Amino acid sequence: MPPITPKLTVTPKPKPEVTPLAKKPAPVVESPSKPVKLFGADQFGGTPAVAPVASPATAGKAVELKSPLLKNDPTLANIANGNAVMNKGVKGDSVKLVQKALQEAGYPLPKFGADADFGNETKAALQKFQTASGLEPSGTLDAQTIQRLDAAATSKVRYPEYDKMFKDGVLNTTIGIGYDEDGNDIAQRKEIVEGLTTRGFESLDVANKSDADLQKLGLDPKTIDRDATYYTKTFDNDGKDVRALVKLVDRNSTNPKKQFGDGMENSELVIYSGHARYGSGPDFDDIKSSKGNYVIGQPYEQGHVTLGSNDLKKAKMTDGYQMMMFDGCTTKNYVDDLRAIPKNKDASNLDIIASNKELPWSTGTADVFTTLDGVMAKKSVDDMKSDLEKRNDAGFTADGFKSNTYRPRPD
Amino acid sequence: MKLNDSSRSIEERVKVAEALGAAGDKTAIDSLLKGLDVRNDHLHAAIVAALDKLGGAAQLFKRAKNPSEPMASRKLALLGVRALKPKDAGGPLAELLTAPEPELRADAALALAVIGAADAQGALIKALDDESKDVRYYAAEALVAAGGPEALAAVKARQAKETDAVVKDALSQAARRLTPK
Repeated sequence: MPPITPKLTVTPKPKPEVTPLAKKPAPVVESPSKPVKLFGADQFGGTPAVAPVASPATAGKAVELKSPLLKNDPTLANIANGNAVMNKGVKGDSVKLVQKALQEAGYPLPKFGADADFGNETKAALQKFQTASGLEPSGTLDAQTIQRLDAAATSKVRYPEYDKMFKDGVLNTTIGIGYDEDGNDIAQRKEIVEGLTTRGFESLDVANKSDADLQKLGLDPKTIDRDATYYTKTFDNDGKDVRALVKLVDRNSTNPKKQFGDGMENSELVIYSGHARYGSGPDFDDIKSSKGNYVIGQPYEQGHVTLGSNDLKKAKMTDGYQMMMFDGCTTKNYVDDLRAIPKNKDASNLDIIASNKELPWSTGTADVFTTLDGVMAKKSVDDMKSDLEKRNDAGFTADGFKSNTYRPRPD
Repeated sequence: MKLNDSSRSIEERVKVAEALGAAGDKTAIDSLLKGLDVRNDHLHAAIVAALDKLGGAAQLFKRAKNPSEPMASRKLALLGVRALKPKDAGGPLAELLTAPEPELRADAALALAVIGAADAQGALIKALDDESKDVRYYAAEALVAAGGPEALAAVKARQAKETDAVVKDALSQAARRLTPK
């Protein structure tokens, strides 16, 4: 085995977080036949972080990392070939690259960012990535993990987690249409009902359906809001029927904020089209009413907002997978709150599409159907994003999708 | 026109809207109305102020009713009416509910749904039987804004004979909202 020379820039900490080797053995992958030579943090007396392993995970042809972010780093190349692992405690450029790859894959490091220090935050993000990738959540960067991270950073085509969305045979969807002072939302609601009808959706009169009737349709009565307006149709998913159930929420719904909030908590697909209210959240309020907006975060500037307490903080979000699309002005302002506030959500169970600038009303309905049609046809998020960007002459952010494992099955 | 150039910042576009209002040039009205498509309060407020300076709702109604204006401009004028929300809009909008062009009748009904003019109730009840499904849809919406037991009775009567699925949906929603709790 060639000598391993990880190029790590190690900066001693005034108060090292790591435990000295004599007190706590390093959690490294060890060679069964040779003593492990430790690299990295031993230079400042802490827990070793990068350790060689004697039996490369990949025999034969060397593994080459392909993503522009990771491919030129010899330490990461060693890890990819099973010659070393990286653990909490190490610092340096290689760590920074891994941190950036995690961020790009949708695993934010909100407290410390890509600071080149493999600390608790990085370890936790790595564990989440490993879990989402079907690996043991060891928190150690090993060959399999760096290869998955490289694949995530290399992948040009990203998909929502369709297998998870369709698993129970129901695509539970909430479409929220935000209030507009000029009534553009009234016109948009009409267009959306027309679009659903054209696509074969039928109105589902839940107020007059018994639990047994709903169960016959494959729906769980406990998840149905009897005050809400629903549309439904079935579509094919690899030879199996999936029931698309769309709850349509607008200013005239009974308690629209609650209806939309329930969708935020439970729907697999959430689509909102309307005013973004400067990052504060979807709005169903004519300001004179008490309907309110669904508060996601503080507004980035003054404008028509009727803020109450933060609804996202109170939300009991499902642990299951969700995809959300926010069609409004600069809805990327929602992303930081959606990533920071719900404790049980991260890129493994929440993907977000959001706009990078102001959007017009005239494209809103088409944007809604780009998303709904795209999901029902299992399109890539890149296809959906491209359609949205062309139509709106504006950039969109697709946040979290890089970590997804779904790929279309070959025909 | 810089006003509707999406590559420019909202701040720049607000300044253009203000300048167009100050210049008093009525040929800028269509451009200002197109700017209402952007979902931004600040630009919206600047455009509304500019439209007020360029003749306000009276000017917009004049455009909407003028058959020699292109249909796109007439429809934009009614979008402007929705933004300006004049208090005396009921009469002119009720009159437009009888226009020969179904697009204008539909946009007039939509404007009534936004502004809510009780004095247009009779015209809206008639519009529930319009040959255009778009007019019927927005008339149902507007009757909720107009309110009253006559509106509910008219909506229920139309529900009994309506065949279009989308209009049925609007009538059903309207009946729910008009029914006393």
